[in-house]
Amino acid sequence: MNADQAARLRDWADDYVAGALGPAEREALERELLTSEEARRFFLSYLELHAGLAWQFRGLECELPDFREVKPTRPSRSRRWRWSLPWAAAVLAVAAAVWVWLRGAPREPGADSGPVFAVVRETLRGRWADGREVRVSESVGRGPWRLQSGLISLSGDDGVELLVEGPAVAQWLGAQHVRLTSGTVVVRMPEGGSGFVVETAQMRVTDLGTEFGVSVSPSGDERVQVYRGRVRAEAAASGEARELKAGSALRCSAEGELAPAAFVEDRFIRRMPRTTPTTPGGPLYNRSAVESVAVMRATNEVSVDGQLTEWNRGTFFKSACEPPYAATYFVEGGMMYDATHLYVAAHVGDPEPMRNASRDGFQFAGGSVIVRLSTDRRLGWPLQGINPVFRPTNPSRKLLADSTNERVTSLILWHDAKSGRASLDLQHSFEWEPAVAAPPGWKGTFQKDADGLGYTLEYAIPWRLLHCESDPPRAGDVMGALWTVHWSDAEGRICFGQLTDVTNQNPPASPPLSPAAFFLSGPHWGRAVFQ
Amino acid sequence: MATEPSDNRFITLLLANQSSVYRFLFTLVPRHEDVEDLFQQTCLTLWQERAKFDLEKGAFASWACAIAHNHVRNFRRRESTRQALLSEEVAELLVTSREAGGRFSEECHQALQHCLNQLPTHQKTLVEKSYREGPLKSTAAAAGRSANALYKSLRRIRAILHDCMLRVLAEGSTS
Repeated sequence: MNADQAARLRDWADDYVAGALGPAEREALERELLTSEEARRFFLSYLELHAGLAWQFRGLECELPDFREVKPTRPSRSRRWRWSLPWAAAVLAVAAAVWVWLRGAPREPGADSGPVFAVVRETLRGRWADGREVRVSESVGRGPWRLQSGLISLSGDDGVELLVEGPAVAQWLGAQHVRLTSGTVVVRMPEGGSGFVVETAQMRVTDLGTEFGVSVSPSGDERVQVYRGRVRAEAAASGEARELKAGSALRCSAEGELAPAAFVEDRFIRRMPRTTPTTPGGPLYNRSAVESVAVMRATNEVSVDGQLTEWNRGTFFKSACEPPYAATYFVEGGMMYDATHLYVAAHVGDPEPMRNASRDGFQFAGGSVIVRLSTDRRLGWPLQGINPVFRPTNPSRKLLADSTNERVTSLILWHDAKSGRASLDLQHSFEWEPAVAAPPGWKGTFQKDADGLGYTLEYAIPWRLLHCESDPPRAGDVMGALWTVHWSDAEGRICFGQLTDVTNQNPPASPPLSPAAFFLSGPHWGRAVFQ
Repeated sequence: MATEPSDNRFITLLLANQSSVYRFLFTLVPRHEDVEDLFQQTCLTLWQERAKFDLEKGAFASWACAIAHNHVRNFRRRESTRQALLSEEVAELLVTSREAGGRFSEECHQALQHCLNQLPTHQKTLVEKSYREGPLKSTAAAAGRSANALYKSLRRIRAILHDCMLRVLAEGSTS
């Protein structure tokens, strides 16, 4: 076929797919197609191109379906896709409702039934935001979904496999297109496949035939790391694009700037662990019933040795996961203070204690206790500060001030199994800057239970690190507080479940959050009552 | 509505092959809206007829495309006055050529992925918007360009992609 013939055929093909082929052209096209196998293959290849693009970028155009009202025997003439299939209903019956990430409430049956983009192939204690256990063969369609904990493997179109580690928030935008709002995902394409896109707030990562991981930390720090093949990463703001090879990594700051990053082999979990937990498994979550924790005045010098001899354990609150895990996964927590320090103590039921492998950026997932506390009495209770995600477009000056107040601190208490030492990371305000290791001055220790089924932690943290050394909390103060415990697998890498307590027992209707997201919203926090 | 384990396997197969069915329909029916309707009807039939498919025997894509083909034939009968369609004789020949090509469709699909990745970002964005957002008029309005100018750009980019695809197919590699 010469160039003129090819150009002519392509013009006709273009007009054909646009519905603009005139009668004379159609006749000429049909003549060529009837007589030439070469022309047919050329024409077909163009149709494959058109079809491939239509499939690739299908997805967002789909409107919400209602398969209950469809009369399937009557062909529709709608421009828009209506996913009205009984098989979709069947899939979705298996899936039940994937809860909305921020709401923690089920969607209306059928309201989320869209094209099915992936099915769950494997799950290791995977749990959705509502506490429901992830089940093999569940389908995942369009719309946001939140994996609260565990590790799940999703099989998508054309054989792509995604390994998603909770907590994660993501959304399928198309058969080859996922938006990752937070958490980590590893994408593995089948041999010869490419083109899968992982979109984040700051980046667009396109697979060029490969295996790669993308992470979005709670602070907005984004990374891509390539294990095999190549990917292209583009900064959304500037359009700057870089191609990455196997063994390289890239970081995108919250400001959208791309910069090389260290390749850390174990930053992402690439394979579903084959080890079977020997301890009770299943969904780990609690129903919060505790609103306040007493912060007792320390009357004697506190020795940070994990023995808790200076503590009155009668003042501790106790919270446990739902049965049958209540006896195994629980926390007893207490707080004390004096003029210079905040003291935190906890006994945590944990069959895999003190295993945290300190994966960069995901230390909390390997097993941790997070105590969140306001030390600014002007903020009162309940707190009003809130993460930018939930703030109105034009927040009041007070709401903005409360939300950015640096005297609201998250204390991430965890045991680094690599060094064998207690660790403390800090985050301030509701803005969620990256957590940083606390500067010197604090003390902490962990003691494993004699039976190996839990641990005790004890910390002394100077008020200076909570930005209130000149005006620390005093007796009578009621401050916002929230406690969260994370449990991990035996390797101290995968978050298996969490408990959230010391919460406002009459939470505001808005924003409607699941407990796993309470940390983003001050009005949901409980109280720390200074005695 | 509970699903049987075999239903789950069927759904997995359908999921893995829905792209092939969708693309097959596009080779016989050019209009996007028609393809969407036919795809919907095909999936419905596949589900209703799932008991007839031998999960052990396999060849799901062929079975699914055969059902899709039947829907296209019915569609042609209903829409016989539509000028946009090619004659039945030509359509059947195209199906035969496609089947004779073995993995031709899959190779085209892989080549397209490779070529899309070579496109500059602005061109890729235009293609994506045009296909995702439907009518060119709205995409053009958003881009501050006339629909005609946008259509020309889209044609040009498709020609670039097509040339790339043919080159990759000829080389037999997407590396």
